[in-house]
Amino acid sequence: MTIEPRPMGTARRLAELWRYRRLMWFFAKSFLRKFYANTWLGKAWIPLRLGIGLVARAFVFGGILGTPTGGVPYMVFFTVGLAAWDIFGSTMLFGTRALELNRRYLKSIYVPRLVVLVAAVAPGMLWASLYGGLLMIVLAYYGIHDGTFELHLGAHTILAVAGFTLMALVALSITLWSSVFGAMGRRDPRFIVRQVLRLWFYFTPVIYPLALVPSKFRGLMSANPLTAPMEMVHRGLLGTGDVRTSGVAVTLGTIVVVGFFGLRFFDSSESRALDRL
Amino acid sequence: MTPIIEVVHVTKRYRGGRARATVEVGSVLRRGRRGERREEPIDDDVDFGDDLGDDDDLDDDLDDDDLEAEEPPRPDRDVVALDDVSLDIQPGTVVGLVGPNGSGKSTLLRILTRLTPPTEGRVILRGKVSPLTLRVSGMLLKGDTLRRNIIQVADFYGFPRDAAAARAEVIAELAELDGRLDDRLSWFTRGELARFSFAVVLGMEPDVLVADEIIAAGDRHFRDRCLEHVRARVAAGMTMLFASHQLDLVRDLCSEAVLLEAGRLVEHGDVDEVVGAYEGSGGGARPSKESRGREALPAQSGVADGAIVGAGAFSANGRPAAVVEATEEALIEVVLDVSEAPATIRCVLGLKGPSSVDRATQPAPFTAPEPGRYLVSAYIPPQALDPGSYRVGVTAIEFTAEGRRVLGFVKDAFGLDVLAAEGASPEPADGSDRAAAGANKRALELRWAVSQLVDAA
Repeated sequence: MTIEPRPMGTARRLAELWRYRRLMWFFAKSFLRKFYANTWLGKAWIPLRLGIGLVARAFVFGGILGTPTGGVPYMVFFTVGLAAWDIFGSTMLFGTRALELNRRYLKSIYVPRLVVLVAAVAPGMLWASLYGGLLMIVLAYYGIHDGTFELHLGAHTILAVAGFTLMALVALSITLWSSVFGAMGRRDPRFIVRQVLRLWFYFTPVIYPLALVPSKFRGLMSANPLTAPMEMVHRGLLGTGDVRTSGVAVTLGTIVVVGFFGLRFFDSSESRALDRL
Repeated sequence: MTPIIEVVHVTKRYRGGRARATVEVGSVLRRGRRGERREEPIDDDVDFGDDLGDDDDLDDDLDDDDLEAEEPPRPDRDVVALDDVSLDIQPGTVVGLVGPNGSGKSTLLRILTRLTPPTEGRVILRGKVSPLTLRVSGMLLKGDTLRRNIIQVADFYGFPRDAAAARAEVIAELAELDGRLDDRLSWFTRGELARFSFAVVLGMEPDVLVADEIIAAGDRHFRDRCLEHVRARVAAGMTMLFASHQLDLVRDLCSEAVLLEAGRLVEHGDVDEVVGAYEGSGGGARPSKESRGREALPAQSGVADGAIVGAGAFSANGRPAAVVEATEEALIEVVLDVSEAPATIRCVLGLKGPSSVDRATQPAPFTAPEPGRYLVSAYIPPQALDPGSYRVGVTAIEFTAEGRRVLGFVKDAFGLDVLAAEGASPEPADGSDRAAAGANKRALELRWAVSQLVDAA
């Protein structure tokens, strides 16, 4: 092989990512450890974090404000939405810091840098599956209490799977950029990502259904690449979402454009950023 | 013969403020200026926890405000670490890289192992290049078996899993851990893990082995065995490149040597000639006090900052050394540039070792009567340090009417391996977690001396 100053090329990067795929699990676990490392409560922090965030917000938006969700109990609606959102949000946060957090590995032995970036999806996946577990409990409650089954499952449930996947892909394509900035030694990139996420959360139908949005804001909503995957999840699991072709096109377009140029940017810039870490 | 490695006009420029240690110095100084009161600034600021093996609990949460290690470097000027270096390496040769600190040895190895790309030029590799690193320990799965960990290291090194699995017995034998393949890693002592780290890389039979300072894993006996195995692998066709300040070892092991100075390749040829030329230029030997200026710092001085111009270790025979015997006296020297005088200064050394953090404080501050360069020497008595690998940090504190001021702080100035005497018992087992190491802080009493250096000019 030849080592050259110019970027190694995205095709080679992806081939290497595949070759080193087994390391993803190692880095994924090291990300997950961050939730409980150096704590008294240990792994109990994982459900604790999850539960506190969920219950408090469900109480405010569902219980106090009584957000209408088209017949679905708010707790069910919100749990499903948060699972999808956290795949995105958590991947964004961890992905942005992926290079920086793993600098010790990256600076002592060659590991394809995309590996750590893709591994950053793991915490979001964990959250989503824990929300899934929580959802079971909520469903059991409604099943016993009201004798109803609140999910609408069927062939269309494949939409939910696609929705979750798209959420992760949008996040990954953005972190191809943010991780490089995140590795430059300044904390601004993380702060920016955190603030943007905070805003983005409210512009995505997580705490409210899309149907509740006044028509004058619909344009804004449909420009959001997360709206379509979120609605796919709602449709796939609850049977209530409003999935439009144009919305899916916005999402796919975002992934292709941001991801494609992101790969090239990452390819040409990650080593310079790592030199300075 | 076709070279296995071709380095073609390689130049490496780091853009401004490359070194991390400088970063932390900066933040410490800034904190100092803000006037935060600290009884013992060194205790808290000298954090050596930057090894792969440690859990990075500095930033174990996304919400953590880990300001400590995060102050980024100020871009000041570009550093040319390698300047138009061309080099062919034939298969089956052992090449020693020699040269003073900052000559580009490590950078060249980092480029060959793909840790950083060259800025200009290219490198053609015709084989699998594997770095030999004790930092393997951070990659290991402590709760898993030795056998599983061989696979784990193979994943990191990009070796096929089945090939690695097939060599498990050989690796265990080389590490002198026969029959323990199915033991959990958490049962192993630090010395055993160090041996494993070495054996696993060598046992996977890389085409090219790259080592930055060959590592003294375990005791002298194991070190000799390692070298034996390295020679055997070389006889079987392995190529090896290693950078070292241990010129005797370079002579002993290498057939060729490359002398680098200030990023340029000065000489490449027969090991005796090149090492001889290097020594002749005053490189390897300890320079006289009078001639030691900014250009000729003690060996392996790490990152210079503030008043600290350089620091390094010397073995009992007065040579710069990265490896010393536990049974012999060793010397650590720090060169300080004092710009404002008179100044009252005290130096502190922090030695982060395998099972403890040793701190050596100058018993009394000394006064520098005039601006200039001062040499602070600390003699380490025999048996004062436990065998193992140490990272040495240096702090220089000035005492003024207003209080203390950090004159210079180099968190990780250089490494020092202390070898156990032959036949000595292996290193004690330990809990392997940093908490235990952190708790085990010891004060080390050394004999100190200070002298003013006369400028060569």
